[in-house]
Amino acid sequence: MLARLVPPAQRDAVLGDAEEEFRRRAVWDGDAAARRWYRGQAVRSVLPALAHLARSAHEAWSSEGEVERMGAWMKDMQLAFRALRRRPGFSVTVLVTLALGVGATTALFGIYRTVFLEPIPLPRSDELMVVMEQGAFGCCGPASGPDYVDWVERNRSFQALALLNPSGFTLTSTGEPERLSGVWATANVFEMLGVSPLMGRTLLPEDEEAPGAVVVSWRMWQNQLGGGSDVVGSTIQLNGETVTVVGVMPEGFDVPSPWAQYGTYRLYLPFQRERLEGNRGSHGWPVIGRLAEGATKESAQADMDYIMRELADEYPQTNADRSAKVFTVHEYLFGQVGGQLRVILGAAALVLLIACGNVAGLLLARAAGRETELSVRAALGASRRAMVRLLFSEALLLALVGGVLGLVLSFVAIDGFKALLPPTIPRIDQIRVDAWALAFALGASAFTALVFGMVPALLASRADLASSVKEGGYATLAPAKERLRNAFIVGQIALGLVLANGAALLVRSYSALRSQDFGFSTDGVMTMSLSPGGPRYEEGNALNAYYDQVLERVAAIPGVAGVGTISRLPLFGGSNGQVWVEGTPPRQNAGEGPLVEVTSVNGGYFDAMGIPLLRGRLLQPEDSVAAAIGVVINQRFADIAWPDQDPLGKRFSFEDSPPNWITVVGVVGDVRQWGPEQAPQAQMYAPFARGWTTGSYLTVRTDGDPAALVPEIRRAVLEADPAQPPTDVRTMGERVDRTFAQRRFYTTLIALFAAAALFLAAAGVYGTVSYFVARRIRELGIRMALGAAATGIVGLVIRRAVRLAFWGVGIGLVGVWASTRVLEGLVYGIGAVDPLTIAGGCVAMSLVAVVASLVPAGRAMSVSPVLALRSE
Amino acid sequence: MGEFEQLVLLALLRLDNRAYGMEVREEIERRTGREVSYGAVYTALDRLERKAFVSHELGEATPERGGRAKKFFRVEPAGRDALREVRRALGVMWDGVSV
Repeated sequence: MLARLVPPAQRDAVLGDAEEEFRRRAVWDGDAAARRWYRGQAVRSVLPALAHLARSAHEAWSSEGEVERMGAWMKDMQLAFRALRRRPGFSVTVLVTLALGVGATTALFGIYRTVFLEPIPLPRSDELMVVMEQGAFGCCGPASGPDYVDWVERNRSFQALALLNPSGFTLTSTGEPERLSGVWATANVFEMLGVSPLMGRTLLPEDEEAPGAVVVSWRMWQNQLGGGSDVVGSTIQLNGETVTVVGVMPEGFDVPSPWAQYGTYRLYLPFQRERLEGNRGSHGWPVIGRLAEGATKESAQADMDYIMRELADEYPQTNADRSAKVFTVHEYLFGQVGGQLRVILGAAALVLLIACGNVAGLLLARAAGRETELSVRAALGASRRAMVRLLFSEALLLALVGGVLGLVLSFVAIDGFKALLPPTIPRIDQIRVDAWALAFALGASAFTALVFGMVPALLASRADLASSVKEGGYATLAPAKERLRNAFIVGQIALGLVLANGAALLVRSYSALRSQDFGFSTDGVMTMSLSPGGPRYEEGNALNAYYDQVLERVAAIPGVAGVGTISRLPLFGGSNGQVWVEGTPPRQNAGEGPLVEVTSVNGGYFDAMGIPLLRGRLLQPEDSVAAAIGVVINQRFADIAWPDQDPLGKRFSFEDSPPNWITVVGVVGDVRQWGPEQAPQAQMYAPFARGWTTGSYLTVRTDGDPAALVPEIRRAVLEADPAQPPTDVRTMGERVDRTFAQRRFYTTLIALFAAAALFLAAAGVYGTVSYFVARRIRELGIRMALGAAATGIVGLVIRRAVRLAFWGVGIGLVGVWASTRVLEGLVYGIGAVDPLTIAGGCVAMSLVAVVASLVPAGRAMSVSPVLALRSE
Repeated sequence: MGEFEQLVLLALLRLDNRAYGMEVREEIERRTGREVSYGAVYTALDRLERKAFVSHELGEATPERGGRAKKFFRVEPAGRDALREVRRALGVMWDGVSV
């Protein structure tokens, strides 16, 4: 902020001084005090900077010989400034309203721009695409190796297609074992992305023949490998294997991966070509590509459609009903978050609009109060143009100062929003108020000044000499102006209703989601990721022995009530396949039959997670014997495959010829595997020892505070193998909470904006009705004197508010209807058009109007006829 | 010449007539006890430089300054003349006045 306030010629020196002193203060007085001082410096530099700006502007204009015209403007500005200073209450109200509106919108625009509008930092990133497959499960899943090979051979739309296999690695050669994320990628990925290494080389086709090479990220080089220039050629231990560092990528480089939008890869290893020759029906790897010259996303999509149809004909067993979908990398990574941010930004813009409406209403009323002054000016020969200029100057001055204050506020607000932002938002660390946000704030203020300053200025300048004299100098609005002011209020109520309705729907969705049953219990459950790997685990039974040891040691810790493992935790997705149920007609291909989630469990997983056994029994060691595999399924699977039958003892198979029968030995309760918003899917829990899945999470139920046992659990795990530290340690409650972070963020913000909108609308109604009472005080006084009942007077005032509310709500309903399309993707458990919520919103807005008019109504009731008549 | 500009010139002279913004700011704060912002100091220095009362040269760029160069200022003879003139004028006006 300081950087933008200081004139360019002094910027370096000022920033250098400030930074130097900041560091010194940080050492002497502590970080917090130093930051406070720095903020104070920034704030106190606003005025000198503005003065400097004004002076340079003045000099520039004078030199162009336009002194005279500018002189007139400057004079108007001076007059406007004096006029505003005379009415501090009015000025402060307007400035605060504008600053809040501009500040919130600017901060959100800053976030939106950094998170969504910024391109991916790679050359010609708009040509980069993600290619995903879709099948029975919908969109979108990764590709299989053989499909990828055929895509590469047959497509005409891509310069290159790269296959990715994101993975975790344990680094053991540099002290404490450390888990790092990396990716096995085809060697062409670097050339395709168009980035050269900072040092050494990238991956070569021959690296795909034999493992042993690794390219590291800049951060990996700096943090884990010491940042020395001799790193290329050195060796490190990953997952127990020795690999050679062949290159370092430049700072900021990362492979955009559909599964890593929130993290960054430290390691890039060569995908081994032999793995491409696997099963065509086994999908595990996302694909990214760069469009060929002249190709577009649409032509690439058509090309892929054609190829997938060919493959479906050639390999009906695995590829019938499968298709591919092409996305730009940008839309795949940021599309969803962009949509949500747009809704928030839209809500903020509505609040700004409501704020503008308020300001315009205030300006109009103020102009009315000056009708006499304006009439006198007109009578003395002021042209209409001069009067418009005078009135507009005030609006302009207010808008500019409000805009600057809003900008200052946006610096504070953006820090606040950042603290509120869920960690799942990408590029969160780069968010700042930049030149674009600055331009946005300026534009927003200019818009405010133009629309909401010009209209009242034009109207008010049409001063009606005769009427203002007739009124005896008393301030009134001419009917046209009064209608305009009412229209502003009606508009505010309408926009307020749209916001209130949206906020209510989101809040209801959020609480509906939070309160539903996920099928498991989080109380006292601690979870952590285990990923044993390396040569030690390649032989036969080593992995099972490792897990047996871990489970045994953890179970022995006092305070542990149950422990088990699962391949994928509930709410966090999984992998699935379609099955042939015994007794049903044979399948034509593997793309038919119920889709079943495949998870592997070990130990007392169900007990640890509080998932109830409904029928039969849980898994036993003999269930993993190849001849008679036994599994536990969930209720949903039982309902789909064997409706109205006892599922125990029934069999199903993933393969057709020959079938590999799997027997149901027990049924457990349904769990939401794919997130809080996805209904439970058919699911089976296989014995871990079958080795059908990779990866596992240790789940431990404790009697007390689960966090307190972490050190002991960690120790027990390391006793089983000191080279395999548990990672991603979190209570299950925390994990559930994190899945809601994004929804909580936008629900909170929109609710805040709706509250602001209600408040502003109330202020608007209050202002209008107060003005109405003040203007008709004489009439009200006479009515009272003639014996009108107090309730009648109150009724008169409140009727006015109700009429405004009526129109506002009516127009607002149209807005609500228009907003349903935006809300459809965000609500859960209720429709985007919810009569109850809408009715509630209408009542709330009407109540706001009525309550806001109560004070002026009370004032009207207590009008003393004598005083009212004396005000003549 | 404004009061703050005088303070800045005097601070520079007190600092052996070669100082950069941070030192000037601290000197004024320490002696007068009022809080001073960098924005104000540099705006004043900018104005003084336009009047040729001060001049500047660039110093070394150190890491604790984020690699930015120091800007050292010195008071020029014109600046000293102006200060002297202010002091004389004030002295004449103060003569015989008690407040």
